Amino acid sequence: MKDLVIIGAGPAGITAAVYAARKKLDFSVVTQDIGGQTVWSGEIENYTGYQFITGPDLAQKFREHLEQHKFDLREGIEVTKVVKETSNFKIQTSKGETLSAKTVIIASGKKPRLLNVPGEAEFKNRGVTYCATCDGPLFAGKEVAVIGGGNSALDATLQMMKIASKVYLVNINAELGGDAVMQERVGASGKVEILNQAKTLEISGDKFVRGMRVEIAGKPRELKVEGIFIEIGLIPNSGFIDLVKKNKMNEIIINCLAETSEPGVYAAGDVTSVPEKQIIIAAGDGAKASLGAFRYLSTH
Amino acid sequence: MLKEISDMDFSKEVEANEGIVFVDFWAPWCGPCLLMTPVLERMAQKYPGIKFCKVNTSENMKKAGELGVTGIPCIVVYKDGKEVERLTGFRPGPVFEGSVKKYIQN
Repeated sequence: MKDLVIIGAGPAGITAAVYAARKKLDFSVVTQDIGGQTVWSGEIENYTGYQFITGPDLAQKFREHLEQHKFDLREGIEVTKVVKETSNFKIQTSKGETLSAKTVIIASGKKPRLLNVPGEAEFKNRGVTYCATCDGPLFAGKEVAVIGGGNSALDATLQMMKIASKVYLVNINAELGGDAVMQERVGASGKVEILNQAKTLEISGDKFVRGMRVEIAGKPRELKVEGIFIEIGLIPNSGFIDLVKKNKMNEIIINCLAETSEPGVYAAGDVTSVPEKQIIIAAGDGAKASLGAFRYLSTH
Repeated sequence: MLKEISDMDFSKEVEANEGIVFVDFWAPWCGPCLLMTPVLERMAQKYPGIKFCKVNTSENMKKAGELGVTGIPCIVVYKDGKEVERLTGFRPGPVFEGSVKKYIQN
């Protein structure tokens, strides 16, 4: 039986772990990776103490700080279920193991929302991608599509405008929803064709993506593209726990002490209902969650 | 040792090689790629019988294009000059080591 299990090791989980280690708690961290979404960030200028740092460099700093402490780290593993048993918690993992703990901190972050159309899974990494920053340059000179209508999609379009020969911006809504400045820049480009009220029906190809079928205001159209960037937002990684109250976006509801609705369960970072999704806020809430768990253990 | 190779020497370093070669297609702008580098370096030191190479796709697009690499990091595993496996996306140390050990046991 551990004092604490921390789920996730992005900024929230790592900070929670550092605080837990310093409080000499007996704890485990179960995580897919170290760094979380920070790894995908380009330039970070608002993490206090660093006037400028790249996402990967900050993720590396987090790892180095974490590695100063001895604890049970289970990397490359997903949590599949968290349940309550009497007054303790059972944490089941993708490796088939079950951990027991008196307290839990959920810092599992968010993941890209899937489009859920035929061909999306089959062509992942064969032309379908969720990261224009990483994969964009591999589509130099090709015709591509960006699916989405908010800031992520506009950002991806602005990046791909410089690289691809043509960009279709496939937006399901009647109008784009991102920042006006970005919309203007996208709209002014001769390389971008904006398709509003466009619903993606299917992604197709052979060894790699060759095209996609959309429906625009009810009329079908085939787009011959070799790259498809799906940028329709992020969803919280909260499906493995039913014990706690969530909001309509399935984010875990917490109070100012990082407490969830279940005593002994805390949450921090982008998986929570805190509206501002920032690295420094996630880290701060990770610290709160750990201190809260320590207080709980002291009185139970 | 983790060796940086180019399109020009890919054939000699990888396709003409007998044995196992792990080839990491990466790029400087790709965060997860940068996090894979220390993992690969550790594996190269720990398993000297396996060859580990890196191809910077920002300077070497030809081979990446031929192989249809559209998502990076992408590690292509070669055995006796032929592709046998492809690993796309960042893999933490313990997970990646599992993929490497598989070839030692075989």
